[in-house]
Amino acid sequence: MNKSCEMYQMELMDVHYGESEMTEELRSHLDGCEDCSRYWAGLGELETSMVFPEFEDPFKEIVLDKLMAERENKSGRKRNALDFAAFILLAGLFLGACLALVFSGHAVALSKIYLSIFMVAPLMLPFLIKRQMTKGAHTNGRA
Amino acid sequence: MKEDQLIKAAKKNDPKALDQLFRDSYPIVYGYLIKTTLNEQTARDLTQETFLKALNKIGSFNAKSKFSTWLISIATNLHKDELRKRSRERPESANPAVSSASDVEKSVLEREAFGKVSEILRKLPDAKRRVFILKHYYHYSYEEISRIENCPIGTVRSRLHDCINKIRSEMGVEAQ
Ligand SMILES: [Zn+2]
Repeated sequence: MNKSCEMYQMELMDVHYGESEMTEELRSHLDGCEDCSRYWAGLGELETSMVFPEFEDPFKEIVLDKLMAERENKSGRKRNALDFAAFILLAGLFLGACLALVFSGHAVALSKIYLSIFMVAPLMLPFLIKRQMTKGAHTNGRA
Repeated sequence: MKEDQLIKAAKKNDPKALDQLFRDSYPIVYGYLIKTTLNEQTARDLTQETFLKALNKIGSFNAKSKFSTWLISIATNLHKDELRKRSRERPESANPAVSSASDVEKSVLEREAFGKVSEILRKLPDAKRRVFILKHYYHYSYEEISRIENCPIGTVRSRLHDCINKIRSEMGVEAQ
């Protein structure tokens, strides 16, 4: 069965765009077929008639700046997520340690530590401030 | 720095490497999208979206293809999405993501000498036009185009052949 000109033209297109090599069969068909010869010449003309020059986007820098700002936001969000994960991990470890102390019979000792931290320490604050001020006055007097 | 080194650094979130990669690839992505959409604003918006997607997915880029080919694939998918979105919004429009010649804004495409070329491209159906652009202007192989377009190589060939015939007949009309 003879190939149709359409099939030859598709093969010519493949040759033109570097997808395959020119064959003897194609060459001899081209020599005897006016239609396919015109198609072949037309492919060559496309190279000059369909030129589309590249031109720069005048807003390129703005777009790139926006992208870089988005990258900053993204890494900021990632950092926050990491900080949050670290906080959850430390809090979990602390809670676990407290529970371990409670279950090993050190609940009373733990309560005392808690009381001293959360109640006694704030009560000590005025004394500490006063002591600091007195120390400061001594130093100034000596100077 | 070479492209593969830039990609490695960009994957580690190096801002300079990422900036360099985007800067180098910008002309090809924008150039492809301006020929595909034939509208400067749409091309710019899709370029930005392409890079945003690349920014979020750079970790999954496997470097089997060139970075620019990967970007062109993303841009192609975004263009397809844009066409679907616009055809939902304006179902009566035959060729919706391409600005019509009667658009109020006369873009650089009409002003410049290659207005005739853009008019011919505008007459090609979207999927066929993309194939023609990828082959004729960017010299991708049929195999690469079939991956970018997600269609068989036979379809790529027939689309390209249809485009060539359409362009030849348009040129013939203009010549008369
Ligand atoms: Zn023939």
